[in-house]
Amino acid sequence: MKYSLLIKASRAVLVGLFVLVPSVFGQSIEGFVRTTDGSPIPGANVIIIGTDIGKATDAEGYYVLQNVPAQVLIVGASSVGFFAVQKTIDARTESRVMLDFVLEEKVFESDEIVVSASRREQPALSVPVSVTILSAEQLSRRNVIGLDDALRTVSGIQVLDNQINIRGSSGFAYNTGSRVLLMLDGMPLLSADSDGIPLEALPSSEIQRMEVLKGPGSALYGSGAIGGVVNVITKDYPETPTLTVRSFAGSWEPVRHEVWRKGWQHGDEFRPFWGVGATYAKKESARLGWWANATFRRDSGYRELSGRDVFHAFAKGTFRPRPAYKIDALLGLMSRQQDDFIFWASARDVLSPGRVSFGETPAPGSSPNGAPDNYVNQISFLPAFTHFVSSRFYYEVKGRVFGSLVQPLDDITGKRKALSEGTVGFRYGMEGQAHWIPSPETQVIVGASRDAITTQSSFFVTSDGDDLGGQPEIATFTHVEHEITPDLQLVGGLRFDHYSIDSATSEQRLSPKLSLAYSWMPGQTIRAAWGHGFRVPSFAERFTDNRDYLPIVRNLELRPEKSQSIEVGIRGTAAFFGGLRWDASLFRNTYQGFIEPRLVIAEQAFQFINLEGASILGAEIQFGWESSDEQIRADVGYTFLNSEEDATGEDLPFRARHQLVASSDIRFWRGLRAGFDFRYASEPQRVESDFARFITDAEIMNDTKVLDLRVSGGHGPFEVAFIVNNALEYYYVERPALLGATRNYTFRLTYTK
Amino acid sequence: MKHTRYLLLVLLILWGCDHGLEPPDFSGTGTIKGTIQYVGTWPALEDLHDLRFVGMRFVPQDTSDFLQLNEMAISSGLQKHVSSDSFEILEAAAGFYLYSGVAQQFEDNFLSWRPVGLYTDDGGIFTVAPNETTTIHLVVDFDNLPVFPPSQ
Repeated sequence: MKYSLLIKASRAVLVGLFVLVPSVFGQSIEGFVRTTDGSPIPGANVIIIGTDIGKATDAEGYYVLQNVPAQVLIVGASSVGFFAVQKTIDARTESRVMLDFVLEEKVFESDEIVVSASRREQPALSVPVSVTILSAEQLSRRNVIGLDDALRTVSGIQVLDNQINIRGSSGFAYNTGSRVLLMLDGMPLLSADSDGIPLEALPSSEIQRMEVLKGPGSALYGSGAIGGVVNVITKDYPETPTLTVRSFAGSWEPVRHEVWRKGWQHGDEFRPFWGVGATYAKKESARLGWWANATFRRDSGYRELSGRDVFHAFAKGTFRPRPAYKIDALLGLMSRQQDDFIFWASARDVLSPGRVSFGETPAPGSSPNGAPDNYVNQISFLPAFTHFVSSRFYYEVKGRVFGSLVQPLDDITGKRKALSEGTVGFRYGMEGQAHWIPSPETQVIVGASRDAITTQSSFFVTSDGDDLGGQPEIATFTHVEHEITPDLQLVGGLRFDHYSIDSATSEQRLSPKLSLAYSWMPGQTIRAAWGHGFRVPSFAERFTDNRDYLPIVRNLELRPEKSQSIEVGIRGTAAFFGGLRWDASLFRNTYQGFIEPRLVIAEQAFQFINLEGASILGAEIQFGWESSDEQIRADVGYTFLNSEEDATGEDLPFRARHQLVASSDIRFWRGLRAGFDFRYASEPQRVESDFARFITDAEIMNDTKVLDLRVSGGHGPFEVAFIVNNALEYYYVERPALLGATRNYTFRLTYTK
Repeated sequence: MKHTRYLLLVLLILWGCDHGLEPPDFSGTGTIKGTIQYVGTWPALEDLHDLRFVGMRFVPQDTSDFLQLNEMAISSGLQKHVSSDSFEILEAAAGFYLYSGVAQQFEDNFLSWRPVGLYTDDGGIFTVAPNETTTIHLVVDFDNLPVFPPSQ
């Protein structure tokens, strides 16, 4: 009863978010989708291009689209294994239009869709840049809790602590500035203080897919996308109301080396973690859908002072007051209390946090320098409005607010300190984007955005000498795609960004891009891409001025870093005992003014400075295969990186030269399934030494070899899974002075109704 | 059969790998005991933010080398404006200490340290052996401070 009331109350709140207006009933389109020999194609998608109006065909290949606008429309039909077909019709003259499709069968083709490459949906096979997609199924199989868990399985990506590194774009920079832009449903999601990636501020169980754009994305997305883009697309709404309850429990296994266990009083114990979450999703009508999710999880941690409690809640709703109008809103709240293990005591005591002091005896109950505690609240609100003016033109207006409140915890009492001793930061903005199809061969996207940051932090001293800063940003962008021939596509883009740095100075950047995709035979595409990227220094890099943990001084002279990239690649699919797909690329990225932390003797402290130029030359190859009976699936990817600093000729620090990821899943009888993920990264060619001067054994790095195993099965509404992460019990250094995740076991139970 | 091969492959990978990082060998610890005699004119108290004995297992080249805490044995804070003092460092890493003395922190800054008196016996080098105590004696002359960085 309470449950029912809760559902009704949630529904009422969501409905209340929108203004209900009368619907407009339009025309209807119906017909059949068949193969060339006349057989029906069930489950084929028939959609009106440029709108969200669409239906799947039934067992007879029949479909009907209702309430369509009375105008000239482009209707497309597609199905896995067939070439898609589009037809133009005039729906103004008849209230009921009959429209049949005949689809030509392919040998094999991936039906993956991406949106990040050009701000619009398009087949992954034809995009002229490197993109990797993680599906909801792939995320679900791995019991992904934080998105870093999922990203570690993507070819060419390394996650160093909380910092994402795509193709060597980042090393390890103490989580102070990200060269990868994180987006949620196409909206930037960067924290206001450090431009770090808030990987936990995402609804991990409600993700439809993740797209990883490799290489500079600044021409479309501006600063922050210099190394690439991770776009998280949330789920839509099921046709029938669905309740999903996910729960998991597990334990960290004690490490095998007694020396390490002895360093911590809990070193001999299995350390538990668990979590529970629920999602309710419902499509109220053709005009309104919503889902809401709440999750709590607790992890006691495999190291001392590394436990955390996290609660997050998300809700998403979509309302169509008229067929041509769409309103979306996503609201997220996250609350987290954690110890933050920064560095170990030594390589003989890896489970205990270290201390930087000249032998002072710490106060009873106080945390070492290597583990500050804090309480974090984050809020995100992403509203969007879309108007489909015609089948050839629509526009979107989006808003975004992302707030972060950080309160340090008192070392002795554990109580939260005042916000004035922590950080309060908001990043907010708006974006308008128009999508125009002047001809079937040409697509034009133009847009503009306005964002601002307001941050107050006891760690920052801005150029005004206070601890309050703002950083307004204005940008305009344009993106044009043109099919020169049906097989040859040309893409160009240009973006202008203007940043005001705390009213003291301003920066302007022009970021062009040009790319080409050529389908030299069905299912095979050759691509070439060139583009510029840039990144404005984060607040933390420019203004941090603090000596609580390490001596760090601000640098008001810090300049944006710039990059230029060129890439050629080939992507294809083929029939090979099922379906085989591959992607190979060669790339070269050059950087100017790389921002890295360095010990500056004149300042007697660390400072973020612009380095001279650097370049990264690399190659990547990926294969994916699925058996014809869909019982076995396998993926493998290898990335080679050769980085070099212009001034010294040395490798860039913390970049692995060789990276390999492999995964596979196999179905046994009655839905029983088993699989693994394996990732390897070679020891970095160079370890930057300033950190190692005062953190014991911080120069120690080694290869990463991590194997995760899983087995799962389902019966009725229940699905159970058993997962062993780091099954090899392999110990590696994730980033300097931090032992990577040790072997752990997870039991997961999911109920769906 | 297909599935069996698959599982065998996984098991092969499981057995074929090592366990990565291991605790490095430990050379043991000993104790450093010392006495200090002060001569000359003491600096003003406001210039004495801290005062400690520091034993270094390397010869510093500049003040940034004071960050190499891993390679140092550091006493607790010493008394100020006294004629003599003593110290004891338990669990000092075993090995050779090449540059050691009393260091003064003259400003409230992480790197604002300077040596005010060096251990000079036996060429300034002493050894700490595992589970043994090494005793040393130093003289600090505030009117005749050692040159830093030291000449090689």
